[in-house]
Amino acid sequence: MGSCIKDKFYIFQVEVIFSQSYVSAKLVGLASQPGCHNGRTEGGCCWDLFFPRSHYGSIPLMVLPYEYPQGKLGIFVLWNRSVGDLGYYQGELQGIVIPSLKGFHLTWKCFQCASTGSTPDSGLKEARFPALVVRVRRRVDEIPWNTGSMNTSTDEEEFCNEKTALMSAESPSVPLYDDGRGSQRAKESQTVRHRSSSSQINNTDREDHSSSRVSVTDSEVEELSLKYGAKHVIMLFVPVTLCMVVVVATIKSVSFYSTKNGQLIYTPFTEDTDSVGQRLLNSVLNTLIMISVIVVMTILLVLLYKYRCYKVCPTPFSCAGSCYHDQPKWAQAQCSKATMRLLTDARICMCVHNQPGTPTIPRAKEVFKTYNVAMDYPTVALIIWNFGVVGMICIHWKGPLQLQQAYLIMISALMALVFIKYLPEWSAWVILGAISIYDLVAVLCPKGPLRMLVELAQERNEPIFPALIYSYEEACNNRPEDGDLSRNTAASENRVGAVEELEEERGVKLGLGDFIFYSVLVGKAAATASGDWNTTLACFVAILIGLCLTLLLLAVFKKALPALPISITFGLIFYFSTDYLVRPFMDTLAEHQFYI
Amino acid sequence: MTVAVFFGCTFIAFGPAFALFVFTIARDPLRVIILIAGAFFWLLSLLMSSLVWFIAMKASNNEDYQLQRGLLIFGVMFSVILQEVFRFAYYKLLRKAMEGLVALSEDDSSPISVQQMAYVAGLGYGIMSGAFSMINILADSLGPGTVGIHGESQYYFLTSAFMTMAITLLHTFWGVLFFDGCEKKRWWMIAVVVCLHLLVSGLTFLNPVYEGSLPPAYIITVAMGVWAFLSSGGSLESIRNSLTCSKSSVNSQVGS
Repeated sequence: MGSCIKDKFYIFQVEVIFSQSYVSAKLVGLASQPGCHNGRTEGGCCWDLFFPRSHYGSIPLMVLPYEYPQGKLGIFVLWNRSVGDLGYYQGELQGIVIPSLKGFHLTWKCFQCASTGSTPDSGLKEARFPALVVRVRRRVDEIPWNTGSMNTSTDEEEFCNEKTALMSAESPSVPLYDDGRGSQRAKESQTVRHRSSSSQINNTDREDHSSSRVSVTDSEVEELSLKYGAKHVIMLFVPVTLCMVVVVATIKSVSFYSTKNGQLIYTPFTEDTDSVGQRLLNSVLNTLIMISVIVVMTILLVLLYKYRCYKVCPTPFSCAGSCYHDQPKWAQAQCSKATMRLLTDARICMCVHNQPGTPTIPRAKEVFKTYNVAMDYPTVALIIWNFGVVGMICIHWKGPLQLQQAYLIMISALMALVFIKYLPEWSAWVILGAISIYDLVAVLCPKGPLRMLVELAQERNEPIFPALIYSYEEACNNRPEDGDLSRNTAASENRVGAVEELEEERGVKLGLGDFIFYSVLVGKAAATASGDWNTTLACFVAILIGLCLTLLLLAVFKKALPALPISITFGLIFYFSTDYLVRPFMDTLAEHQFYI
Repeated sequence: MTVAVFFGCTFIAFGPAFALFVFTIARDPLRVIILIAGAFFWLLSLLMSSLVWFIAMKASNNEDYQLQRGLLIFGVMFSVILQEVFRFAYYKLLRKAMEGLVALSEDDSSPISVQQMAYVAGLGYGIMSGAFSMINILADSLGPGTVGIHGESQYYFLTSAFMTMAITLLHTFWGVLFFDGCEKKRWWMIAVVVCLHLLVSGLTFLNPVYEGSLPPAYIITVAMGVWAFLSSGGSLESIRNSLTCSKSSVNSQVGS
């Protein structure tokens, strides 16, 4: 976008920040253009929002609808009043289209006129500002339609998939209209739903009451999120790869983790039996015990979260898995924005140890033994103590983002190593399979515990505990001092500083349980596949592809998805087939030095 | 069997591929995804072909050495053909994905072109093929042992590394040519690629007579490289332009 034209209407996504008696709005993006920064559009033009008789850049608090909470993104309609020398523009606020919290209702309020309204049931409504008509639409696949409009739902879907051109720089000639015909036009627009949404903005003076039609459709949000999809995938590939590399490196170098030395209390049945059937039975029983413990833990976690016992929750349950997609805040009215699936760690005694620090003690001992490093107790105590305390602070409170991510990766790797060491062979594979199935059920079934947790978090508009989730960006809101008291303290602790690029708020988050189980699979492949690196490599690629497919599905469906099933399925298939089929083939080829 | 051998062979085998990855692919997330998906498709083809070979091997007499060798040769040829089939399948998948990307983008053009996808897909194939051929050998080279103690060639690691490098680069060039042939509907190009792949794999049957397998493989690699360069629009002038006009292109960017 080259420059902003005077006396034109522009539509912005704006995030509102409360501060004492007035409200300032931070520009998130031009609704037709992704990639805007605070107060800037892509072309480097700075925007300042103003309202007559108020501060520049702020909105009087009484103007906003009372239910407008902090941090939500609304669609603000601004009329460009000036052109600056350095591209600095001032936009006078004309009205706000606000997506509301519950039930996908879109409400709007106009300041110069008395137009307000909402879209309870039908999908298409118009918000009319003095010289601008904003058409707002609800997403098709989220809301159950009432029977009357069932036939139009397919049209909506087509409409949803079309690329929407939000605004154009030309000034087309749009016929004048007066308010009397407005409703008629609204009816017309409802019937002509499938035409392509070429929207035009009229830059004539607003007193002429000329109308322009600008569509703000949800497909635009889909575009924005899908456009960033590849970046998000890579930002999850990197930590998953790092975790797996750490686990494989440790497995291959420190022999402690490949030797069998006892079992967890959750897998009491031994696998040193004589017959294959007995061994299989024992592994299935181990799996049942493990899965039931996990289910119980998950339900306990959901109950604690439901009754707001935030202080209790993060500490014991520091291993969890989830995968969700964070939509831009202004699009909260549509599809489920943040949905989580949680998978709890069944090992209660490790829960206490799972604060960074304690599990590193036995690991450090083994590493020192392997590399024959002489170490004294005071040094080790000092190092481990600092390591643990910094980790606690970083994860549960504030800290640099990279440090937090590094700690989460380390914790996941350590947990995976524990599982690899202490789970017997067949039980490990059966448990991996069973966990994927449980994950699928718990996230997608309506009464699944993880789905309930997701919905609770969404209703309260909070992220879930920081110790359970890996995210590649910090939460970007600065909590004000006089924030709403009903917001719980845990949520405010979750914010880890401010980030300037608000568009990166649309992020994907992956739970630690996923990291752990991916690493368990790859680590097991490295530990037990006859010293073969091909199997490890094949499982690694399979898991990455599974993660890629999961994220693709996430971008398409935009609801909580379990991250384990696809990856673990691919991983298991590739492990067994590579170990039994590919390995003899490649070994024979290498023996003769044939190349394929 | 020293660390020097390990590092030397690693850099020989994976150096060019790693450099290509770092300089051309690592910055762009979409290319990384296409690379890994290409590696996945190669893996799938290997899986199917080793399944076939495994069944044939188990169903036949284990003691007959000639038969086993014959089955292995059949396995290699079948694997080569299956790899090319999966390359075609990957081409189809990427075409579909590109339509989706075009539909999503703002200005009706895909963020990545077919030639770039061909190059990345070929590199993915090459990296995975090279890794599967070489990683176990590299891991073994770190341990104790004597190469060729029973009378085989002493240059096992070195020739393996060179062959792996050739195969990696060949897969990259074949990817470019294959996709180009599919785009322009020149089926003879695809046939030539498949035949050359079979030829290179067949030449390795002459190992350990390395004179029969390595030099021809490298000649074919250079020829494929030149052909791929020419078919994706390169020429002597473009090389000259890129070397001499790079300064002026920088100037023009600064000025605008």
